Amino acid sequence: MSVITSDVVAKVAKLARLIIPSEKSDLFAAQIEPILEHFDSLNKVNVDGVEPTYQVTGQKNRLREDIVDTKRMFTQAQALANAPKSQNGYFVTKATISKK
Amino acid sequence: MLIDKSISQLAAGLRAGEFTSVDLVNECYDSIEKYNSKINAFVTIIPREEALKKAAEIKFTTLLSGIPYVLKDCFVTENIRTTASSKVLDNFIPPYSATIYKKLSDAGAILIGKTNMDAWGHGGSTENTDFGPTKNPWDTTRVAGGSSGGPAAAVAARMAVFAIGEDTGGSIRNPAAWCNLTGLKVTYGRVSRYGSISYASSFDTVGPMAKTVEDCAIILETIAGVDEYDATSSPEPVAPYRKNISQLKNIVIGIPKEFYADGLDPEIKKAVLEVAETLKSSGATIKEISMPLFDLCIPVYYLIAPSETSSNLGRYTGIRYGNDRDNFTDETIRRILIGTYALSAGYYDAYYKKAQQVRTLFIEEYKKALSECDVLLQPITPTPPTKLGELMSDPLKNLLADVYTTSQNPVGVPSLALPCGFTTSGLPVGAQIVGPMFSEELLLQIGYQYQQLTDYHLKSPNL
Repeated sequence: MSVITSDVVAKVAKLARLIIPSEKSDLFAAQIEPILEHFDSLNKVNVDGVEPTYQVTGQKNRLREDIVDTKRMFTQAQALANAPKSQNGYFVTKATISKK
Repeated sequence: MLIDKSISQLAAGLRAGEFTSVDLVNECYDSIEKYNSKINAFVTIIPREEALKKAAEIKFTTLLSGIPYVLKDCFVTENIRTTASSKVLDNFIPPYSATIYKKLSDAGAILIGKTNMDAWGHGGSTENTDFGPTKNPWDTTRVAGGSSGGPAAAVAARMAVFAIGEDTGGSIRNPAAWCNLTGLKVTYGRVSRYGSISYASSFDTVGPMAKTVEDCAIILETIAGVDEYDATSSPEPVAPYRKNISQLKNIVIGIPKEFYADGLDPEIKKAVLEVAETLKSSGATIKEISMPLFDLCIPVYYLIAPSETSSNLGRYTGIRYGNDRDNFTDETIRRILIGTYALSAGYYDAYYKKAQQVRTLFIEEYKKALSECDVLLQPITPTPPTKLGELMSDPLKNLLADVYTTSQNPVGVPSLALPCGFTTSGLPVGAQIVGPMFSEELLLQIGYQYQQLTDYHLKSPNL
């Protein structure tokens, strides 16, 4: 029985804000299942007491002064320059709160 | 061709007045005009007159002054379109520049274009691109490799003297191998990632691709170093890589036997192992070792990288810039889905956390291997360059093709890719030399020595 079903793909797609038509969901499920099965080989390894590694720099908590670096600032015009829709110096997006 | 020369040969010729930077730029654009429609290396070509103008005004302040180069299209360049080879960004004009672009501009290098890649770095063949696949200059029915296929093909086809690529799981080394170039995956943090469009933030590295090891050393000196804008960049001092390049102590080369088992093309195996034999004449000794975690690198890499990319690609909403998320390719969607799933409640421990724990074991395994030898010799690809369409038709096969290059990035160690021969059908073969963290100086010395003893890296394709 498949673990990765079309439903699972649909749920995960929603989390990832991807819109996937249902025929595609079936295809992705069929493609992803063998890939995840392949990853089961990780279960061969004993990881008791092994700390996860999230990054390999050996550095921690690189801080900087809380000062504005004007060399890196965009003007409002620069920040808006690539916006598909803008108005009065704002980005325009779809409404997220409906009036119901 | 002038562009067949190395960077130091070009620098000498420019200063001696044998030719000008304008001549170099013209040769590159002539190659582009003749061959790019067949090869498709470029996403955006800088207008010829602009590059020529820079070339005409050049001051020779560094070895890279007046030298034409290309950037993989994952590096933002202010006011020059940057796409990561995705429709999501096909109209994106960055308002700022990557640190490496600033450094190379200050050094006087001349950018002539932004080159094709697997979108977001998601691939090993430059076929997962919204701008058409990049063909291999050695055989245009085959892929150039990926994800830095455009940069590799451009340099191989003499459209540029060098390129800056990006390597997250082999993306510099694979196309270097398949296009007969020298490429360097640096230690994580050696080169600033500021302005590099992120794929997997704890794996991504930025590095040079060129014809020779000495070229890579010169480029690395320019682009390496700590950057206040990249908190993961390393304060480790930048060695004078070029100055020390011809020194080499006697080294022990480790051959991890698991990397040479089933699944590796016999011609590639032979050519790669021959690298160690060749270096014996420079005082190297060979030691067979074992790295038993070997094939777990695919699950480790392909759980962590998609997880990190699912987070990084969350910013592409089409609201502040770019086009919306409907524009992702199938391969990118698969990676976002796998990563989101691996990070989701109920699956996080079994997949993402487990992969990060096995990552710790890989770090220990590399440390142990590199305590028994100075460097490791490993293949880069299991096969010669594939035919167009071959890898894209099989998502799992596509992932498994990365088996030799996906353990180094989670660990962070550097690896130098060297041309080491050709198959009987004339396709390039590459080998990689892997060292401890921040051992770029040693890797470059070994590679330089190898390129004094061989001439594979001097060959160029019949276009």
